[in-house]
Amino acid sequence: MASRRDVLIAISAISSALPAAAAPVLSAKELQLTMTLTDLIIPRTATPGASDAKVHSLIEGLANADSAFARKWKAVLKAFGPADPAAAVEKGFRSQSAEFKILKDTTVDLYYSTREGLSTELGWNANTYVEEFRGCDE
Amino acid sequence: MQAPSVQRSPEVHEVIVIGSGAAGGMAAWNLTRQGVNVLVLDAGTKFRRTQFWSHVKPWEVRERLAKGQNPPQFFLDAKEQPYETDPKNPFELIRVWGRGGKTNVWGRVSLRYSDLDFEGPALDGWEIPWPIRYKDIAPYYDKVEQQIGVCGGDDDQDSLPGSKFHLPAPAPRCGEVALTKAAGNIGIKVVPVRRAVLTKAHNGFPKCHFCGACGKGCDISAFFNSSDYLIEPAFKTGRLKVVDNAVAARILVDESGLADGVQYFDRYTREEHRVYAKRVVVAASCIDSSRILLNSKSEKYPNGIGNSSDVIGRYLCEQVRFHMHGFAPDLIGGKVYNDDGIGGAHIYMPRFNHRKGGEWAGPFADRKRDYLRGYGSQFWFTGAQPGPAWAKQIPGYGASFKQSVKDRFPALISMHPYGEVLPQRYNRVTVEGTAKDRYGVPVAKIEYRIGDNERKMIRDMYEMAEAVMKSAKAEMVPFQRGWIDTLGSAIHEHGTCRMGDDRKRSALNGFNQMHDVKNVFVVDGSAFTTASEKNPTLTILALAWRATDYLAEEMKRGNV
Repeated sequence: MASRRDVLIAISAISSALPAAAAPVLSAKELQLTMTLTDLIIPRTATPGASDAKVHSLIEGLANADSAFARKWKAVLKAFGPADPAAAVEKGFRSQSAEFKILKDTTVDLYYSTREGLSTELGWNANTYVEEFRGCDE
Repeated sequence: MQAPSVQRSPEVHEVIVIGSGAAGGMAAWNLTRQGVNVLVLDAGTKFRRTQFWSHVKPWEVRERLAKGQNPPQFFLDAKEQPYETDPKNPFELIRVWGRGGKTNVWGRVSLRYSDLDFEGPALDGWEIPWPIRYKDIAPYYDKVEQQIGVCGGDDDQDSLPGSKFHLPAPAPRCGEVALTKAAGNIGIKVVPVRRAVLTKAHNGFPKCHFCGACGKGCDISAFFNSSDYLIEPAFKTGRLKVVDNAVAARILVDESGLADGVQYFDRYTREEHRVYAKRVVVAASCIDSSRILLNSKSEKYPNGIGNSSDVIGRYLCEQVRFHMHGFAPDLIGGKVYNDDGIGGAHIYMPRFNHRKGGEWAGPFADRKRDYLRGYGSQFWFTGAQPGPAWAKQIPGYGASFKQSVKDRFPALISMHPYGEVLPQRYNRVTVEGTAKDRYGVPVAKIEYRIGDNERKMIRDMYEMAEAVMKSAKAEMVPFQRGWIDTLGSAIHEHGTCRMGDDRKRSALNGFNQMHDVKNVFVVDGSAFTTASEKNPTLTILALAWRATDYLAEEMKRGNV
């Protein structure tokens, strides 16, 4: 389980990634590129990928709420697009660039906080009423 | 001259208790049930269980926040009540102002101190000895456990005394079975955790339903919190009054030097109030209690009330800890269980590093330690848990990365060793020359750093944790050896108003009563002589019960 501190941090992270209500920070092209890039990190397989979980919308929300993050994300878009995102991401992975780390960490944090990522993909089905906890003997 | 805006209550209360957390709640409950009228000053208000987000899934949190809804704000924003800390040695201070204090969201680990802890300073000579021993507090551990409900096993050892009052221990998760076996294989004993969670209905409170969301507050009150378990019953006696949003600033004294009241400010109107009493019990949590005591200056007490020894604010002890994660190979790609359980670990590793040999001496058998005291370990965040931040450490990206994360989701095993920090005179809370808070009262400044003893202990803690993980054949999440979590992050502050027999080197006697001011008692973690490696709340509750038993008796005798 998450400690009380982890819960606090998780709520804080989630709350800062709210869907955008104000004027968008990312243009339509930038949002499309964001979809492409996050799907490269977590693609659709038999289960939903990043864009299925609307990670790109969450990133727009994060950029809207946090100008420092918005600047970082714009740098990610510049590093990996628009010409050949797949090749650029592979290059960023091989060199372990700062932009790759931001792309991967952001996508992972957001995707696995969604219903699609946490429940559908990973199979988490907890935080519910259980009469008896049987642990490993379940 | 009296300031015109000061509100003075004419009533003289029998006892004022500052704070409503574990210590203050226990004081209020134990005194009122013995016929004493009590006024509690609470810096916040009651957190309403119906508003807890205990069963709000992670993605629903986002949706609710987007709609402008918010969960109860348990944690005090430092912008509201600042504290000062050295940016080069930052101390993280986490506070909850409101009914029940931190017990609304606490970790619930409930460990008895042993004579290894109480006798430690006397044996190794580091700083002053405790004025009490296990036999003095053991009956109170028994009573507290029966009152609040603590689950656990039937183990009993020199570093962690057993109890015959435990509720059933929760079943271990698969990862915890693996860790217990791995530790046992190298001679380290891991036992069922002891936690103030009701694994069966107890004293009118319902059984835990294993949703694992304790950190968001329990919507059915199936774990001990001071508000429901102590303050509410105290109300039923008809002898308790609580002032909400009362931010205590100073203890007032009369001409003889005895305490006669408390100055507080309304949290929101900022209006100054003064309430009066024949006795004051301080239970505002270690740092805030120190701030209040040190700010309580007068002609008789120029450096703070009860501080002729100049120890108040000094000898701050917290604990050092780090986190190590890996994946149990037999669980990779396996079944995803609902691993919520009672929230947090279901197992615990008691201290063992003092043993020279024989059973359960572990890797430290026949080894000479080059540091004092010891450590234990917790294991929370084991199994299929939401918020898999570890996934960022899995190499690669794309479909294979996604599969790697999925495979490892049920296999996470975690260790969190906690080590004792020695009391040092220079680790302290002060209020001299600090900024003023919104009420015009000096804020606390926290100076805190670890020394050679802790660094040597941390080295051993890493060796132990790596040995257990290696024994489990764990696939490790990368870590940096020697790294420790931010100081203060364990939220186990102790020692700044310590008890002792020598009044020149301690502020309190063995019953938490001030040496200098007999009608002031300090009953939170600040009263501890040392910190140990253990979570302190069970001991805070036991000491507060014992101290207020003594206070009630002294009141009957007319001594205080």
